[in-house]
Amino acid sequence: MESAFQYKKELQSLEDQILALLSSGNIMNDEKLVDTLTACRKTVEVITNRIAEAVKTGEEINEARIRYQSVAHHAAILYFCIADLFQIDHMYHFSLSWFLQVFVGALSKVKYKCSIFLIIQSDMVEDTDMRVKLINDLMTDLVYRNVSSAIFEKHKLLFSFLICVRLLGDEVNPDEWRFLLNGHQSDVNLYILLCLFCRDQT
Amino acid sequence: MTDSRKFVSQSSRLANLTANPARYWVPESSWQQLCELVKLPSFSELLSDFQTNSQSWKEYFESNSPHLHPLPNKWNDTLNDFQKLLLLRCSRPDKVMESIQLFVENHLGKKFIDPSPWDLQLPYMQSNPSTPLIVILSPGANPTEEIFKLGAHMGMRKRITNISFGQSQGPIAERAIQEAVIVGNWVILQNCHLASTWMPNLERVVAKLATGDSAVHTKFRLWLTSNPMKHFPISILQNSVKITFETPKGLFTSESCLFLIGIRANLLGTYTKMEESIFTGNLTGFNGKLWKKILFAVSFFHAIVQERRKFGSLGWNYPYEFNESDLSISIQVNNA
Repeated sequence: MESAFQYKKELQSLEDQILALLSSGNIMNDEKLVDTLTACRKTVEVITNRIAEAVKTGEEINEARIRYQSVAHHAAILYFCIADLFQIDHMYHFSLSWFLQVFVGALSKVKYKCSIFLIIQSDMVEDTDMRVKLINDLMTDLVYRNVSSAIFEKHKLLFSFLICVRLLGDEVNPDEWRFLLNGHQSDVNLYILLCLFCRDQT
Repeated sequence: MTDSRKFVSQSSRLANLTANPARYWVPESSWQQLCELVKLPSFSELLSDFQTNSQSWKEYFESNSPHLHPLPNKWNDTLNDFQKLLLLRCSRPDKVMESIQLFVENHLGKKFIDPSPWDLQLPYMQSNPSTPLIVILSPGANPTEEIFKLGAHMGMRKRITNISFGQSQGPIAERAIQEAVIVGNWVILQNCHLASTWMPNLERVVAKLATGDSAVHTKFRLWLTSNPMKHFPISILQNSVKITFETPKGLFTSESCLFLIGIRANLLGTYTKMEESIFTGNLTGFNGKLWKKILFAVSFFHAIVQERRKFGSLGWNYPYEFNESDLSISIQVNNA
C-alpha cells in the first residue's frame, strides 16, 4: 500500500518538473526539454505498471484479510465473555494483554498443525477455511482451559454456557434468551447470566 | 434488580387467564410459566396442542429424564435445542442445569463441560518472574503442600520462603521478596485476604517487578494465596496467572452420589418390604410418632452399613455381610 503512494508521488513530481520546464522557455529549441520528456515517458510507463501491480497486491491482501475476519469476530466474542467474568467475582479480572497471549498461543499452535495438514491439502481456498476453523477451535479450547482453572467449580458451566450462547450469535433469539434467564429465582447461576444479559441490552 | 424481577413474575401471574387444564400433574407455577412462554412466536401453538394431546405431554412432565427424550408431537422437530431449554425451564426446572450441560456438550464439545483435573504445573509454565501466581481459595482449602510439592519437583525445595499473613507481616514479606528477587527463590504469601490494608504495598512491589527496572532472577516466583475479596488490587489480578483451589466436594463427588442413591434405594426397599404390623404395631411403651422415628433411624443406619459393603472391607476388619435378618433383629431389639 505504501509503495503505491510512493509511486503516485513520484509521478506527481515528474509532472511538476515538466510543467516547470515548459513554462520556462522556448519549447521547440530546448534539447534538454525533449530529453526530459522522453525520459519521463519511460518512467511514467514503468510507474503506471507498478501502480497497477500494487493495486492488485492490495486487493489480494484485502481478500485474505476478509477471509480471516471471522477469527477476529470469534476472538472478540471470547474476550468479552472473559471481560464480563469480574461481575461474578472480583477475583475474576482478566486483562486484554493476558487474552492476547492466549490468542498468540493459539496462532502458533495452528501454525504447527497446519504445517502437517498442508502436505495432504494443497488447495488454497480450502486451506484458508480450514485454517480459520482450526484457529477458532483452538482459541476457544485454550481460553476455556485457561479460564476454567482460574474460576470456581460452580462457575465453570456458567462460563461455558455463556461462550456457547454468544458464539451461536443470531441463532439464539434475544427474547428467548431473556425468557430462559428471567424469573428463575431458584437458580443463582442463571440469575448472574441475566445480569450480564441486561447489561448487553443497554 | 430483585424488585423488577418480582414485578415481572407477579405481572405474569395477573396476566394468566387460561386455567390449568391438568392441575394433577402440572404444578401451578409451571402452568403460569407456560402461559408466558406461548407469548413467544415459536411457541404460539403450544397451549392448544397441550389440550388436545395431553397424554403425551403428561408422559413428558412425569418422565425421569425429560431432557433426554424427544418432545411430544411435532415439537421435537420445530423447536431448536435452545428453545427446548425454554420449554424444560417451564415444565421441569429441576432438569435445567443438566440440560444446559447437554446443550454445551452438543454445541461446543464434551471438553467444555469436563474441566481438566487440577494441576499446578500448567499455570506454573505460564508464569514468569514478573507475573505472580494467585491461588484463589475456597474457605478451608490450603494449597501449601501442593506448592511445596511442585517446588520440590522444580528443584526449589530449600529455596521457598513461606509467609502467612496474620499480624503485621507486611514489612517481613516485602523484605523477603526483595531478597528472593536477587537470589532467585520462591516466596509464598499466604492468606492475602487477611492483609487488605497492606495490599497497596503489594501492588507497588508487583508493579516494580513488571517494569524490569531492577534485575529479577529468572527462577524467582511470587505465589499469593487468598480467599476471594473485594479489595484485592485489580492490577495484580489482571497481570497474574490465577488458579482456584477448592476443598474436595465431599458428598457431591460422583462416587458418594452413587452411595447416596444406593442408600435411598435401599431405604425404599426396606420400607416396601416392611409389614404393616411392624410399621404401626407398637408392642410396648413407644407412642406412634416416636416409634416411626426410631424405625427410620434403624433402617437408615442399616442402609448405610449395607451400602458400605460396596467398598469391601475398607474401614472394617472384614467385609461383614449385613443382611435383612440383622435389620429385623435390630428392629425387634428396639421394640423390646
